[in-house]
Amino acid sequence: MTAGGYEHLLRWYPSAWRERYGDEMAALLEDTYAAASEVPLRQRASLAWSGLAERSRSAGIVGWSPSPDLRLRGGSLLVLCGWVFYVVAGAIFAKSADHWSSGSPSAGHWVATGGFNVVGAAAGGGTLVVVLAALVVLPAFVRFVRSGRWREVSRPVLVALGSGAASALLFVILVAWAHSLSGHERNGGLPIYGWFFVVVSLVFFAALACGTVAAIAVARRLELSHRTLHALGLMAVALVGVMALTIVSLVAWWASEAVHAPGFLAQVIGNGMPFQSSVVPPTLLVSGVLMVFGLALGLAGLVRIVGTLGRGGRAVA
Amino acid sequence: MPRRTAPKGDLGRSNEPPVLILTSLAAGPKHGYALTKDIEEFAGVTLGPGTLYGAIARLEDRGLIAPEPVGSDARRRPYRITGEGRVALEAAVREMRTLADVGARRLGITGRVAARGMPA
Repeated sequence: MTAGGYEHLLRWYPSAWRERYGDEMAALLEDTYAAASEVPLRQRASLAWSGLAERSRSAGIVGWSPSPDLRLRGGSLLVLCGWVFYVVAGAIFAKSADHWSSGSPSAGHWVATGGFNVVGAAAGGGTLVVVLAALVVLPAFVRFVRSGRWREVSRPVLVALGSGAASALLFVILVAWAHSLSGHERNGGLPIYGWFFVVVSLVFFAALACGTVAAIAVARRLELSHRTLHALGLMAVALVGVMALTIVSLVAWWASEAVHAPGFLAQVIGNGMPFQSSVVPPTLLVSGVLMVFGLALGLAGLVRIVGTLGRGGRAVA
Repeated sequence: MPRRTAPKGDLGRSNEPPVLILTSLAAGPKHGYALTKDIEEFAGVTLGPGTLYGAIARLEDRGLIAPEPVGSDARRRPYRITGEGRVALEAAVREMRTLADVGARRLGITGRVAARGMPA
């Protein structure tokens, strides 16, 4: 393997890290594996993992930084990552609870109705918070681009835009197709439509992941004032509140359905793959697990933000 | 709220990379490959490049080790332990010795541990 080959293995690390330690690490790889002529797969995977961990650390997402601004930034980004899981979970829940109000006898039950409405309102509220946060950092992003640093983030941003455009295009095709189909065909009667729906969903989730990566890549490079980071931290705290409210409301709706309308849960889309249940349908289970995971990330970010704001944003040696 | 970071001198357990690296550097400056070989020899632990340099970066950030001026080979930069690093390692060694002493006493193997070269 050439020196360039060893350096290529370090592509997972952030550029600042590669600048500082890249040559030394490449030399270490060369000294260790020159005789074997190949770096073992396990070691490659370990380098990828370490590199991604360093990227997360440099964004303030993992590890601990004495800089309060970096802690606020990292905490806010952690909450954003948690929210992305909520978006995926929410999309699954929305499809699972499709036609709930007309198809479930418990639609008039106040717990189910209240829970369902709060989930919808929380989704809107959470989206609003994220859009507000994007608007708050927009001037800094414009300054960043004008300073000639666009190239640093062009790749993840263009990938995010491309995947977003592909997802939107597929969604338009899906909606147009759905309009020409009967309710039975849309809900499993036409397998090819079902498979296309799965593909569109996967592309949407991939676009969401690419968008998150781009947002992190941009956010960790922006010059943000302490005041802006403080505002973002407060928005992130509000977002965690929305996430907690969503999960409580979802559980209330779910429990009410399980008690009053198990027949509706039994007919939830995807029930039977891989198991059938009128209490815990697989799609709702996946949605719930994703929400719990998202909330865990959100809470990790919350601890970081509240800990920093609680110290009045002072640096800790 | 408790601090979410280890104090500057807290290096973790005896088999953790920071302790192993400081122990190795206590015998003199070394570059990456020399460090891994030395640690393999005295601790029987092989640190991968990612783990090694992750720990080196953290130790350097905390001022416990410092890079030496590069010689003829800029790609094989040696590191040395700093005064603060020495203090932190001493504290870690004392803590380990205390733990080893208590464990040995409770197991009634003080003599055997001493015979195997543990400092009294």
